[in-house]
Amino acid sequence: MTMRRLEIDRLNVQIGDVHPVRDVSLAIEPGQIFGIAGESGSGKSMTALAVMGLLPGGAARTGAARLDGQDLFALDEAAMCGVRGQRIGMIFQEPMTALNPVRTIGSQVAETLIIHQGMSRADAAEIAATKLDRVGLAAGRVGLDRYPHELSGGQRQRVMIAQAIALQPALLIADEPTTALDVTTQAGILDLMSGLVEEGDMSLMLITHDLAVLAGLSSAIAVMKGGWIVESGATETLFRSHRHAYTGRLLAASGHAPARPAVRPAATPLLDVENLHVGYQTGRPVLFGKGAMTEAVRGVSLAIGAGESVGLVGESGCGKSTLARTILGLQAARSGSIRLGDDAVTGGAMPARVRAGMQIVFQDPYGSFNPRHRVARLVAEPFHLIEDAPVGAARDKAVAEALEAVGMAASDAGKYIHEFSGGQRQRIAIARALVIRPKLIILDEAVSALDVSIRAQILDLLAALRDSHGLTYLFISHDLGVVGAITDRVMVMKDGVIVEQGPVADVLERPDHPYTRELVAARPQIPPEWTARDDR
Amino acid sequence: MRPRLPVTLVAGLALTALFAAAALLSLVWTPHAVDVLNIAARLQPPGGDHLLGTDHFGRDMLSMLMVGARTSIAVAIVAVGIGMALGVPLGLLAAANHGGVVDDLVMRGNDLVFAFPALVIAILITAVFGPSAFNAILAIGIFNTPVFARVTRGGALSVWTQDFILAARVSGKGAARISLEHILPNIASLLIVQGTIQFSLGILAEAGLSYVGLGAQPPLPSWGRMLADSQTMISFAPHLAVLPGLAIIATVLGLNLTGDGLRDHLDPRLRRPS
Repeated sequence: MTMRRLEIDRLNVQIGDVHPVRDVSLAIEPGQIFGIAGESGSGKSMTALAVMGLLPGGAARTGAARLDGQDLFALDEAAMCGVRGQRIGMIFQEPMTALNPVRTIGSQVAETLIIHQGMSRADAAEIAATKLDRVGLAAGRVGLDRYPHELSGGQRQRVMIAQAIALQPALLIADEPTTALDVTTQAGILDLMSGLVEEGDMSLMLITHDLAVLAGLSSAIAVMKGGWIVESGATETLFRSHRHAYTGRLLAASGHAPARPAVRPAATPLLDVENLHVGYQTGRPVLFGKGAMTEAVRGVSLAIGAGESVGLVGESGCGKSTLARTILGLQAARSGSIRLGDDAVTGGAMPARVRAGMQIVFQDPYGSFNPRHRVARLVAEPFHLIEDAPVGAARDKAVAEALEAVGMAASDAGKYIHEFSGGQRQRIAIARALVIRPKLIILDEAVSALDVSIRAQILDLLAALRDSHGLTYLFISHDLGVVGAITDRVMVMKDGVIVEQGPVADVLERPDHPYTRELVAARPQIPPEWTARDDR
Repeated sequence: MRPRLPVTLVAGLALTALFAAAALLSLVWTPHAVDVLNIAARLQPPGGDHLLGTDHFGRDMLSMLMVGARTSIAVAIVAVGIGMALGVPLGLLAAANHGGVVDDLVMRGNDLVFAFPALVIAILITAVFGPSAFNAILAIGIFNTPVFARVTRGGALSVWTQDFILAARVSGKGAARISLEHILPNIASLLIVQGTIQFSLGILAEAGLSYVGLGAQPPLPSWGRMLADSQTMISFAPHLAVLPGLAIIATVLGLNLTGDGLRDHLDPRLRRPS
């Protein structure tokens, strides 16, 4: 019998009364990429932490994890320190916080070598340079003496990988390594990781919520839900003939597109933006004169008809959020004009009546509510814009109606926001946007932070509301797939300019601009023939 | 499951409550009158009729300490009140104008006040307006202001970056309204914690000012002046110095423990999952 690289045998994790991991068994071969898929709370990260011996205090684990035949759970903390970093490397989701901001990237990679192998500083620096070179951060271009804040998110993730592979570990655990990154950056990181597995004898445990990422990369997948592995097997087989209903639901949800209402383009546009330029100050004002200016939006013109749903796609820093804030009148434009219906949007002191025509739903379901207020007060906040806003019982009724329209109960109005899950909070955010019946709703990455199955529900809700309330959407996202599912027309933005726009199908299938082509190509996709089933 | 209160918080609250109760009780009852001299019973050691002994005028030490607690606590409360009443609005104003001229003005003004040694200014104020408990309050209050302004601004700046502030702005709310409705409730715990710490510093400052004769004036008893009066008699009546000293230490310790405990208890980032 050949030796497995990692063998987890009936792993259970218990924290108080909670069992985040239940009877998990899996085996990873040398040189294999093994995917663990699941939604938040499925126990996939806890499984990795249990293997690493990094569970939070108060957690108990039973079962066994063998690395090349050695039982990791039998090792004491000192011996485990030798295993971590040396034989198991780990990469986390958040490259911003996982690196020490006050030390250069070269010294952080070298540190691992100095600690584990007692290398001299000079030797370690030399190896660190070759490792950084391997992950695409050549010394000539990036330099070992750079600090993390001088790098982009993708570059930081590459530093993390260099650190993790510095000692040529037998197993690399990557927990959502690309979730915080743009699609084109994600494609590069995934390429790099599969290359590293191929050239060494390393195995990779890739944990992600995104089945499409695994489809192109891993040879086997375990799907987790509620702490259990509900299904596991070779990737293609699993996609083609998933036996467990949950896998099917997950697959269906990740490619979910709600039924589209028929589009009736209006004669006059609801929102008309012309040659808009927006800049903001990046430096503190100096003694005489202003600080440095950055131009985030450089000459954008767009029109959205009443009842239309338009997508705006771009990667982080392309200016899409600045554009949204300017349209909402939260930020003044340097030049150009914005019209909502017959009214000019000017920013600053704008009539409340004009503001009342627009609302926004944010990405983060946790940060977009004041935790000290009850739902009734949160949802009613936009009434501030209306002169003869309903008060008392009439206001309660309006709030209840808005909550019921998004699938919540009227009685939820008396609760605080922390009593709700992420998906429920996003519904409440939509209720808040809906309560004064605006014409335009801007959805700024409104489903990006949600699990796929919740995301599918919210997309359905948005489609239904558009139909029933006659809403117009500007849907901002970095995710082409989501935009394709909910919008009629899509605009692609890069460096403050809209580089391409057109009907969704045209842009996605026949991208014209090189950047759009790059975006479409970088998108991880499940091969359509794997999921071609007629019963769903 | 009810979250358990941290030990430091319970101990701190108990100490603080003890002195607060003594101060309140002194309003209606003390074992002996503190404004009546009884030279026949002077310098009695603790025990007997006078539980904690008497001072060089024959006044009951326990009664003096109780009334002294009232003085100290009253001075500190009003001083912290002044600091909050001025500092919190300034801090909110600065945060709302972050990066603007008002922000700079407020913060540089803060730096200016911080640059003066507090005690020296307090001495100056009392030297100009005459020593009294009221002037001590004023002096301590002025130096509390920049502390609260800074804490408020720091806390408010991080709340301002949250999405729900943007949502409020989309709802047409102005900076003043947002500051009151959204910012203040979310930094309240920060201010409470800072308040308890400033409270203990206020008690120390009042004791220090009274010690040099610039705080509460006779016949009003004050811990600081009790310490000062006892100096010459420390060799034969050490309880005169030890008791007010212990009172100051215990109160300040109690308040600091309360502050630390409250911070751990109110700040969800420091709270361990229970």
